[in-house]
Amino acid sequence: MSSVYQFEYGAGVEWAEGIEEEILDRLSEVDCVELIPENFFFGRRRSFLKRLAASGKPVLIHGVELSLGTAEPLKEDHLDRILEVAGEVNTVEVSDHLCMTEAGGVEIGQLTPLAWTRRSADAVARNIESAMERMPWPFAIENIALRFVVPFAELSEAEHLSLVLRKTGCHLLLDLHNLHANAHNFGFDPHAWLSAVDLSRVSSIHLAGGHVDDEGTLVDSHSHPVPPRVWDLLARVGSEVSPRWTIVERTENFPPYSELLAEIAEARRVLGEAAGRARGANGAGVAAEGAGT
Amino acid sequence: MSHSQVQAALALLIRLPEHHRGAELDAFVARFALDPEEERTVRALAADPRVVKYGRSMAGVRGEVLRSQLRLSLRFLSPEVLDCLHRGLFEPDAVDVRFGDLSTRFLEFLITDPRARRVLSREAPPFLTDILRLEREQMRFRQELSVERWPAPPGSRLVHTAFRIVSLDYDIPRLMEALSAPVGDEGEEGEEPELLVVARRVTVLLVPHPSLPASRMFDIDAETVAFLRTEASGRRASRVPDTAPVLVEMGLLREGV
Repeated sequence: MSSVYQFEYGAGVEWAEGIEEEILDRLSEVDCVELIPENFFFGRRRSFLKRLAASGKPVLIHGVELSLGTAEPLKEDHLDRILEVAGEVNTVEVSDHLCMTEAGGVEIGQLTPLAWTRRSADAVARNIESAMERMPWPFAIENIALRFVVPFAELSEAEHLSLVLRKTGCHLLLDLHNLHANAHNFGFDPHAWLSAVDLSRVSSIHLAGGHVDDEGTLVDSHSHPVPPRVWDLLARVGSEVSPRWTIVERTENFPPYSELLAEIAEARRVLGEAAGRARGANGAGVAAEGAGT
Repeated sequence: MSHSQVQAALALLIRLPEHHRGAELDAFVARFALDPEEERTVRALAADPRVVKYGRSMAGVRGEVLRSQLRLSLRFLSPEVLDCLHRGLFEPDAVDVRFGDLSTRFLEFLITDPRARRVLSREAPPFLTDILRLEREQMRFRQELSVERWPAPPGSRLVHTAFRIVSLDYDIPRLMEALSAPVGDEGEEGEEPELLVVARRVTVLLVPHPSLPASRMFDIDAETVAFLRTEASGRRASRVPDTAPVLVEMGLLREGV
């Protein structure tokens, strides 16, 4: 692991308007901050970026509208704006989602599942490679919370994701609450899903809590504490690899900021203990060092 | 290669969740270049209740965005009429509109679309067009204020050019003044004041609020309008208006001019 950072498991918080001041006031208590760059386009919130840059704190740039899965050429102008934001802070990773947010000139406005086919994997891989060519930072792709599944798939989600990772060499931003919600909503075993994915590609992790709606769907709303099953999944992942960055996502229904800091501390503890157990069991280092650089 | 066609069809099914189903589905599917397997996929997506739920959820979010952002217009336009115009008339022709542009594009639609004009002429007061135009300008101005690109031209007596001038057909400043009167403790809505909105051509100046990403509005005279426009264009106005002290106080005009 690089000696640049003074921690083994960097854990931090995602920027949200409701906690912006606390983030700045208590920067020393997190190892990193994640930003959605679209919130900072066109010079918006520049004073926050400047203060964050001055702190030198590692920043993860997490896009939401690049629509990498759209079977059309990469949105170069959108990527330009992402790179502009990334260039203003101490960026350590750039990421977006394995999904589409628009297609054929139609704006969906939300992270929408792709067909799990080889052709779709080819299309998204082309866009990821185009994006990676344009940036000096590691790039990661995130698994999304599924609202539905495109029928008649050739591959499972895990196979489709693994194929994209292999084709591109990019990293995986593993969102464990998305996985938990998908397992709940579509009735599968999240541990089997983890077993089907090359976890050595995991560079970073998202933790969050959601709510169950009137129809019993678990919604990834980032509105509640990280639930026990997600902590269990983190321990499982931590027993196999050492993700460099873990982010606690909370974008609504904000608790006192100290509660988010407690979840960040818990993430470090869970990952540290899991790695310790793995080392004890193996008599050696954790299997993979994680893909983060 | 019709993978992109399947995606385009799916995007439309989500964006317009009440369209392209039932009897309309055959015509919808025929719009895309799909092989039999892809057509089967699109038909299955159209019938999937999760896709419908997702689309309705996103449509609901767009409606909430409008209801939360069009605060001024909604003082004079019922939420039901707004929803009807949004879902029934605006959305089918606005599938390319992003969340960030939704409110200004919708206001533009209400101002210019003949079908919307006909509905509003029945359902809203005659001065609503002024309200819509003012709110649209306020929103655009607020968006642009976040971008640092408002320098005054060399030699100008202006400090910056971060202002907008809007001409109205009714005395909206007077209406706004009445609306901003105290309405009760803790922000509770009080009785709407009895208002007499006068049909009188007025010109308002929008300038940045000193601390918020918002604007302040001032009723200005023709001489001030001419001065600001001339100075902002890089030419020198022949005469400084009597309102100069107020412009200085706004931070718009250099002191001692």
